[in-house]
Amino acid sequence: MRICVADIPMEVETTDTAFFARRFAAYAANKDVPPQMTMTSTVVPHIEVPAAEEVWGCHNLHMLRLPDGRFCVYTRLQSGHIRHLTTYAPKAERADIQVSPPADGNLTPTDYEYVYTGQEFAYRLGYLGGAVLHGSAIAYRGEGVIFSAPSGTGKSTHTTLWKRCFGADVEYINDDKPALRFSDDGVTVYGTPWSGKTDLNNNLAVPLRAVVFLERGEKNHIERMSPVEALFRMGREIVRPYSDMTLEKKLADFMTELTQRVPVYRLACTMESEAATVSRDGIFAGK
Amino acid sequence: MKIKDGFVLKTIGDNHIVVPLGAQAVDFRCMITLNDTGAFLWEKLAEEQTAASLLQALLAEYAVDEATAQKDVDAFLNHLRENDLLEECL
Repeated sequence: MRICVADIPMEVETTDTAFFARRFAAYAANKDVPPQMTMTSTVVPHIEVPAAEEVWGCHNLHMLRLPDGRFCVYTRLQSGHIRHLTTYAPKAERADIQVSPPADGNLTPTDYEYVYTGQEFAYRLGYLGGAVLHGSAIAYRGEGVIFSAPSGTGKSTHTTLWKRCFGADVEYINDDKPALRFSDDGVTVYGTPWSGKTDLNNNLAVPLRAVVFLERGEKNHIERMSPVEALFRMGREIVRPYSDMTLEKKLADFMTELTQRVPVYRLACTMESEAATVSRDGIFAGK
Repeated sequence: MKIKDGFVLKTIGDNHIVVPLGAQAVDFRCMITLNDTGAFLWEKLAEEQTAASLLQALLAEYAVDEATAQKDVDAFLNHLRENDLLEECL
């Protein structure tokens, strides 16, 4: 299927074609445009790890260098089961994913295809100078705001408050993994089909107004964060490979530049409607 | 001694922050910032150095007396050791 996400035309093949046909429908693209990425995802009962030099390993993640110059990253669980193996070209222009869900796991084979295709897209975007940031992204009157925080903190709850309070002024961009790319003097935030547990995403591209690191609080309060602290916080929420040092360095450069182009805020908030008003007024003061 | 692989220094305005990459980023939880002197010494530690060579580099770069420079180097190296950023080569 040919899709275009964050201005990257891609050719994607998956095992669960029906699921991805629905998820990718809003991003369907003309096949006349040459793809900047080709990705395949296959669900298999068993994964064979190729015999090759291991160049990196940390916890259960391993990276091999193949004789033909490609790389291979795989996850070996404590049981010895290989849960996924991706073979990719040096700049992620091609990624071939195999997934083999463990028998006692909670996720379906389609869940794994969804996670790993989203991950490979993020890596290709990284090589093209962009990044994917873990957060709930909305557009308020045409300007993007990303609320970022570790899972379970309340990002989606907060953007739901924005939608409830400000109605048609708010559009969802992506509720889990929005894409970012630099424009001439700013940053553009894009919807992508990979939006976490929900399909709350739209094929939008708007200028990014702010990034907000969210934490639970007794009272609602928003304040600017220093670029240095913003860079520190962002390092934990950017989608990154860890295993690929070339891409790790590019993403570090991206985050450094991002914190200088776009204001970053710290928001302590409750789950009440006032939280949306406080954060909106803090970000868009004077607008 | 030199800086361990997997750490880079990023400068934003007048501020310098240590950024972990790769395997170092998986478990690293500290935010480490350096002042201008620390950033200068950090860059020197991209190559093998001793405490003495760092002291000499600082004295050559800054108009500072030796006792102050020695304290700065000691404090900087302690800061790096406390956060496991230094590779002490044999």
